[in-house]
Amino acid sequence: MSSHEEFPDYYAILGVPPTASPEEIKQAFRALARRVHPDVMPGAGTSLLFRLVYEAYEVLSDPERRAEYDRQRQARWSDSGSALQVQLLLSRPRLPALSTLQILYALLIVKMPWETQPSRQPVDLALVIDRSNSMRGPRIEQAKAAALELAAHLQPGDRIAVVAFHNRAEVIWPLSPVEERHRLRSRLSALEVGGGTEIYRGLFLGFQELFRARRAGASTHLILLTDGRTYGDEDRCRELAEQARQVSIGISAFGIGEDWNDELLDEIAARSGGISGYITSPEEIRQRFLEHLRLLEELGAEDLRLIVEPAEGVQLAGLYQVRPELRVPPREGAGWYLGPLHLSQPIQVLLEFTLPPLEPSWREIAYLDVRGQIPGNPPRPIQAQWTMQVPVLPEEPLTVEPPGPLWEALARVVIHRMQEQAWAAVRAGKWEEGACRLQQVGTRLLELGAADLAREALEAATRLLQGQAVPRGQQLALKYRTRMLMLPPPDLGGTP
Amino acid sequence: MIECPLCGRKYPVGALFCPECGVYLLTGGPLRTEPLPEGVAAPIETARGRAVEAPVVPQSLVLQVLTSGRRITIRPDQEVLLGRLDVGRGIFPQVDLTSDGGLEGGVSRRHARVFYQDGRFYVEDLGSTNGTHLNGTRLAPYSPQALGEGDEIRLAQIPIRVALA
Repeated sequence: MSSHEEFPDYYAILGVPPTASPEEIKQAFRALARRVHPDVMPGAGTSLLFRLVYEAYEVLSDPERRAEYDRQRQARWSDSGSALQVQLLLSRPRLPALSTLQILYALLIVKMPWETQPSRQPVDLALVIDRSNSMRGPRIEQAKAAALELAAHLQPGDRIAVVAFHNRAEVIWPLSPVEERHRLRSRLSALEVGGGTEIYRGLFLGFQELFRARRAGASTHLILLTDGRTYGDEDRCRELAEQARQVSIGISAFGIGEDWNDELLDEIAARSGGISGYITSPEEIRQRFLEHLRLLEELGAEDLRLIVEPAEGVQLAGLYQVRPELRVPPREGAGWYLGPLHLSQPIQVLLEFTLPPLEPSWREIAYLDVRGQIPGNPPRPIQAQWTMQVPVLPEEPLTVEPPGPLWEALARVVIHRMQEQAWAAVRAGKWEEGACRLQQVGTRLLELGAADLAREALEAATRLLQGQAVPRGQQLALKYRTRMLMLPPPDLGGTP
Repeated sequence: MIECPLCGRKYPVGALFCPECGVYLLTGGPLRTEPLPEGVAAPIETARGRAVEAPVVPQSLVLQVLTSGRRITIRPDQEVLLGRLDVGRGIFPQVDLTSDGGLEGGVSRRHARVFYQDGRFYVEDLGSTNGTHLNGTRLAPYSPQALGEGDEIRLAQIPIRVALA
């Protein structure tokens, strides 16, 4: 057992949601009490369990004591005044005592309610645009138009910088108050394309613009747009993303066209707390930039970090950040970096635990700790902690449907992972294995109701089986659309 | 242990998805599959040429194994593995074709599955050795095909007639 203070979760003990009605609580208690009463089920652990179940009922069935308990419970999940809301969903409300290993999934949901946002923080934005030869035509023209529109949507007090790069990089527009934007248009119109793509030079210059004029309380972000592969400077890009994270500058990276390095862009975004995405046509640039700006404007908290300490014997078998973007978050010492928390997009993290053989008891699974800060001058630290505990009962394994959001998160992770494995197989020259995996991805997507995406996957598989390469555009579309996939709630099927 | 109905890999209690084939283990796995009522459906005229009006949304699917004449009715809420029973390997298909000449006929232990989705029944080959044919065409593994009235499925050498009810 850990040293963290015991605070029993009475709702979890009774297996009811915190919103349960008095009647539901009574029913849950009666059903459970019959099973765990020491007379019915003599043996290790049951008397303790019964005591806990009874205690839970005593507190939750008394309106006054329940209200007091709710206050304490809420306080443990959130700092007073910070209003960070954390919710934990488990795949099973209680566990059977077994002599074999078991798996338990948990979905951690972190959000901030709209009403807690004090005021819109000023935004400092650096736009880093690829001006290599391949950007010629609609791409560069749309990128310029998008830059102007972005500037038009900023508010007084915000600042914007524009950097363009090919083999070299230059500051087209230094970080300056948005009120001066009327001169940005003439600067941009002089921008010509030429040369190759060296992302690091552009990133570094954009980062420098933001960093040297940093101010407390602003939401500081860099947006990269590229259509090319960079060679030889990938490691420096990754290092820069790490540095950016240390100073709370997020980097979002968008690829356009079909010849850019998606893995590098994903990594830059994950390491710095930004997002990455695939822009399929020049006309889409504007829309994606504006969407991104809206996200920056509703920043609730930044630099969220999660620490997971599994209890003795428990193993953390997997951890995925599921929202706002599906990815494995970067590791930081004992924790994971989850990036910023936007008000309209709760953060979701899926955890998979492998549990050792269990005796009937009140079992601690893990200790969770989420911390970050609310931007401002000075920034306000926020923190929430929870000890995840589950009752272990001497009974048959439950086969209950998991909560909807947990099911959805897990389904997305599984499909995403299968797809990654398919492309990895293709890259390694194992086309048949890749095709087989893509067929499975397609079949699952079909079952989940994502027919269009399923067709794409099956089509790609057929190409591979016929010995043809999958066009890069199709590969990218599949990858990014799967990552953004919204799944309908599970079909609870079964009895008609 | 929970077994994936598709690939047969085993996972600890509490697992929800097979990471290899992505199957949701709670509905696809043995936890939820009920034993099939066999031979309960009324005889259905399946001779080609005679118009059998299939309902718009089928209530059930009837498989008739032509080597033995056995009929199997499948309801929309069931997902059925067709293959050969192998207790030693822990493979328990809901439709065991051993007694229909499955072994001699080249049927794999996990040969194919039949399931229902959005108003239609589908057959999916599970990477069987000798293949699954639908109306004479061999199916690509793991790509489900919709079934219609009067279709003929062939698992290796075992022909099965499809009827909707």
